[in-house]
Amino acid sequence: MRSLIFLLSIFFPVLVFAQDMNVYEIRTEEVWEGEKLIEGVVAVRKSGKLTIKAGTKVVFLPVDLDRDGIGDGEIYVEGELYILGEKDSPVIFTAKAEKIEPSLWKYLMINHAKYAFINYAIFEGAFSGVQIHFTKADVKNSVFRKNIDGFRFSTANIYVCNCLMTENKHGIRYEERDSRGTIHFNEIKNNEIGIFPVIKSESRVRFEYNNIYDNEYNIKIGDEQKKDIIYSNNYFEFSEEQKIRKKIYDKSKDKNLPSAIIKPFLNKKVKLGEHRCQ
Amino acid sequence: MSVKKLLIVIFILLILNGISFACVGKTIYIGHLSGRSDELMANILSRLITERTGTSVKLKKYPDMSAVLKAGQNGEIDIFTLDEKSAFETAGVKSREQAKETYNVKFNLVWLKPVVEKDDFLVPVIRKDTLKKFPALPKLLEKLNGIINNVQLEEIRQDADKRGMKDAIKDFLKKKGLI
Repeated sequence: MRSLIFLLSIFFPVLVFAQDMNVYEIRTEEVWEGEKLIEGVVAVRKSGKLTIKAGTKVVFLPVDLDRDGIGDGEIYVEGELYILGEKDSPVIFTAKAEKIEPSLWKYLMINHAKYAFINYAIFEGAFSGVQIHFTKADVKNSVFRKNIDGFRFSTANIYVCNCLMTENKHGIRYEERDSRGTIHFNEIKNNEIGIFPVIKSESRVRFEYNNIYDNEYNIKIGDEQKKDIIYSNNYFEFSEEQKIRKKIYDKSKDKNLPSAIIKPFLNKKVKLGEHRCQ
Repeated sequence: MSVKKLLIVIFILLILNGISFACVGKTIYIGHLSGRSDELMANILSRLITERTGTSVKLKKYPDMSAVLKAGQNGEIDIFTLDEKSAFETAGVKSREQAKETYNVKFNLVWLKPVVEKDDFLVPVIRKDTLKKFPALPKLLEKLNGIINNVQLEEIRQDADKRGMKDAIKDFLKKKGLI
C-alpha cells in the first residue's frame, strides 16, 4: 500500500495536492439558488445532476494553493448540468474580488459529461469561462467577459447562439479535433483575439452569422493548424476584404499557416437576439 | 494487487489525468539568468510561444549558467538560451560544433537554429523530452532567426523601461509579423 501511495504521489501530484483543497462532490440531484460561495472544487460526478436557477450568483473565493497564478476554484461536470438563467435574471459566475480580472478562478469544465445546457449566464474573471470537451452542450444568451479564454472547447458537439464574448484574451478558443456543431448569431468583440483555432480544425464546427469585430485580431490561426478554415458569412467590421484581412492572422501574415476563408462575408452587422436561436 | 494490475490502474489513471488537467494547458518552462538581456530574451521566446500556440509559458530565474544547465538536464526547465562563451565553458570545448555535440550527447539537450548566428551568437536550447511533447516548437522558434540582434534588443530594452516588458515585446513581435 505504501508503494501505491508513493507511486501515486509521483504520478499524480495534483491528486495529492487535491487532498488539501476543498472538493465538494455532487452524486445525486442538486439545485442551486441565491448566492453560492465556492472555495476549491465542485465536482458533479457521473450520477450527479446540477441545476442552477435564474438569479443565482456563484462566487469563487480567491485561492491559489499551487501558486500557478490561476485561482483554484472550479466546477467540474461529468454528469448533467442545467444553468437556467433568464433574460432579466441571469446566473452569474464570478470571483470575490474588488476588481474582476482573468484567472481569479479556473473554469466551469464540462468534460465527458452527459449533457450541459447553459442559458442566460455570465462568466467573468476565470481562466476559461467555460470549457467543453467530449460532451453535447447547448449554450445560449450568455456573456463571457474578462477571462483568458471566454469560451473554449474541443471534441464536443456544441450549439452556441446569441452569446457575447468580450474583454477576454481569446473570445473563443478551440481545438476542433472531432467536434461538430454550430456557432451562430454571437457577438465577439473587444478581445485580444476574437477566434483562436489552435489546432486540428476541419471546419466541422460552422461559424456563421456572427459579428466579429474590434478585436486586435478577429481571427488568429494557431501555429500547428494545417488546413484552411471556413469562416464564411460572418460580419468582420469592414466591407473590403483587404481591410478585413489586416485583422486576420493566417497565411497572409505567415506563409506557413493555412488561410481563413472568409468569403462571402457580410457587409452589415447581424441582428442578434434570442429569437435567432434554435 | 499484482504489479501488473497496479501498472494497468496507473496507466488508466494517467490517461484520465491527462484529459482532466491538460486543459489549463500544458506549460513550458523557460530558464534564464538574472541579467536584463537574458530576461528580455526569455520573455520574447515566451510571448512568441504563447501567442502562436496558446501554450502557457512560465519563466524561472537562475544565478549562473551552470544552474541553468543543471535545470535543463533534470527537467526543471524546458528551454533556455545560450551564448557562445557559456556554451564553451559549460561544454568544456572550443568550437560551436563540439559544444552542440556535447550538449546533445552528454546533456540530452538540442540546439535549435540560433537566434543570432554571428559574433553575438545566441542559441535556444531545448530538452529532448520537450521536443517529443512539442514537436513544432523548433519551427516556431526558428522564426526569430535573423530577426533580433543586439541593437534591437537594446531598443526593446529601452522601450520596456518606458512601457513595461509585456507591451514592448508584444509590439516588437507584432511589427515583425511574428504574432
